[in-house]
Amino acid sequence: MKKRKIVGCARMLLALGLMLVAGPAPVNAQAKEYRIGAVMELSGPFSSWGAPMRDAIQLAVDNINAAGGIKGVPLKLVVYDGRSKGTEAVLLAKRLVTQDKVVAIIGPGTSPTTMPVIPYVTEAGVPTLSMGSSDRIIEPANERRWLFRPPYGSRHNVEKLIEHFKATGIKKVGFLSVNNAYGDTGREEFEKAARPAGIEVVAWEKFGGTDNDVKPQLTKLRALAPQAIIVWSIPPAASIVQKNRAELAIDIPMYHDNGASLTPQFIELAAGAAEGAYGVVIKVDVLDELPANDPQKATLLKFRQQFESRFGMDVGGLYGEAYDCVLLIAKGLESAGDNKEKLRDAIERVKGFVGMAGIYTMSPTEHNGLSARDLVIGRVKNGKWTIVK
Amino acid sequence: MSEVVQFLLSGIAAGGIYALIAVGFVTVYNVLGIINFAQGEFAMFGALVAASLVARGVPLVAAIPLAIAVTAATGALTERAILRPAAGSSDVVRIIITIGVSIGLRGLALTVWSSKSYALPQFSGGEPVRILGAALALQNFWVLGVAAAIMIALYLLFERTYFGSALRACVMSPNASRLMGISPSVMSLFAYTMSAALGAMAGIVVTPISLATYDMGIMLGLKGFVAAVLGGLVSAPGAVVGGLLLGIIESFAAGFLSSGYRDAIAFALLLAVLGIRPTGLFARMAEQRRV
Repeated sequence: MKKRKIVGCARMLLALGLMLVAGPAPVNAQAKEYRIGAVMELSGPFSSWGAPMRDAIQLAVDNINAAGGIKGVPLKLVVYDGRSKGTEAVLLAKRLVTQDKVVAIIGPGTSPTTMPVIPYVTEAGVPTLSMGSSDRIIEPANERRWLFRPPYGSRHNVEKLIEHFKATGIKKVGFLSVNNAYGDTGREEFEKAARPAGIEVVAWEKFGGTDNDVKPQLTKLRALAPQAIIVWSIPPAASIVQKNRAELAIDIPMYHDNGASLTPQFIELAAGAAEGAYGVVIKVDVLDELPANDPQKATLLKFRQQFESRFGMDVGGLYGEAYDCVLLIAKGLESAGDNKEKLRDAIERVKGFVGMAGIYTMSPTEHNGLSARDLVIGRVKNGKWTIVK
Repeated sequence: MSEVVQFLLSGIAAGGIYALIAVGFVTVYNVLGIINFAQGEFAMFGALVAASLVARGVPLVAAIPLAIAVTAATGALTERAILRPAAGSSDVVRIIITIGVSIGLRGLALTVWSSKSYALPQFSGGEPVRILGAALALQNFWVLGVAAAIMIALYLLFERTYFGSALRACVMSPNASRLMGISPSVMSLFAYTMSAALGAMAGIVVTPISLATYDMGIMLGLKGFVAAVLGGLVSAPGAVVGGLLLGIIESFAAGFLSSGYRDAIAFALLLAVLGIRPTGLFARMAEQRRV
């Protein structure tokens, strides 16, 4: 009995040893490359965002390497699947820092998976560019020194929508949000901004992210006769709302936050029912209509062509936002090298940088860098987003 | 008023979906004596295969039987390769095997189809039916129609045919069945294959409404299970009534309380039924099978 135990222990030790040997190759100080880590939701409930984001990040890294890297030093991307779980994301972030020795982390891709990672990356001192949408990722600024959040947030969307409602005389709206942190953040932001802008919200309705029928909520909203219905969610839920609206033949205009248009799936999945939908969109979605003097147009045209030819799928705003994460890190690496502290400072100093999602101007108190100015109110016409003038 | 009508219609629509999954549970339970937790995954698998075929230009009428056949074959393979070798094991072991099958299928689907959502066109074009300001899409009638057809077919099969009695005899007493010349092994293969085909039908017919994703099977399976338990687990008509009931209760709860409670209601209902009336709401029918 005792002997068996000892043999068992020895086996375990051996296995452990093998694991260490077979694990990620130790970082070789000679092989000069900048390692960038990414924790993306490649499976689980948030995964419809993860895979294309990973593709966009890979494209950005490949482009930079093809152009000679950062002053001759190539980038190396290490991607892990966070499985849409916060706990998993923390473990992977630790692995990226301790084993893969990355200089910066891109991701996690959502707010709920980013929040648990914050204490660790702050303690470890790794610049982390989250793809979430909540402002809590980067606020309060003094506690979030190491966190950046390049994508647009709820605040930008609300600002753009309210500006549009004011301009078009819409004063009475209904609000329909997906029942999770994403929808709740949108709702909170809109609630804060609506009253000062003189906009009355007749009802706050919610629906489940996996519901396939939102007609009860829509019937309720219709009965209250608002001038517009705001929908705060992402596809496929956003597409289902559009389908249900068509089934009920509701003619109240429907406005989606930027989450709907971030991937081409919204229009695709609604199968014609998205026609006439309004939404806050990123410029890449209305690229052909942009004036030639738009500062983003040239880079976006190139990005769209590259993305679509390489991945055989339509580009969406989300991919641009993910691409920007790499560009921001690359920009920082140019002046900072692989010193993480300097890299953080360098990203914080980015000013007027033209990215795919918009123009970034960071500061110690502004770790998002975008402004609602670069967003557009769009409307779906013939299966494509067009600019609402 | 139109709200209440809409709650009811939406409830019936959702209930039809649950019923379709529930009849699959009943089929397997009637013959193998276990809960097949891969039922939702068969629905997902059928739906994704059909969506891929249609996306590749296969007409819908051909894609549907093809997808059902592929799923049924997957079911048959699963039964032979994974469940059959464990035939002598306890029910708990075999139920856990079906959970393993569900996880395996989900993983396979994730690698093949990634995490994207896929759509299928409605089976028949046309305006939704509108009653008192509420609406029900035509596809929902397809769901209800398919559920009704399957329910009748299964009822006739299990209760009115010799073959159906043979199927049910297998779970009651495998040894006695064998003595009577019924092969429990063949019957179990047949039942599992059929439940995979039923699952595929369910998945395909709901996809135009709910879209298809690799993880759609989890919720479908759970809700279908609740519906099957409400109906007493052994009767196809019970499962359909259980499904409709669940859909309607959920819809009204979501409408009058908050949509956040939708899933909680379903599972509270499951706990209540298991606690108070473990034989389901239609206990008399269930007693026929209790041995």
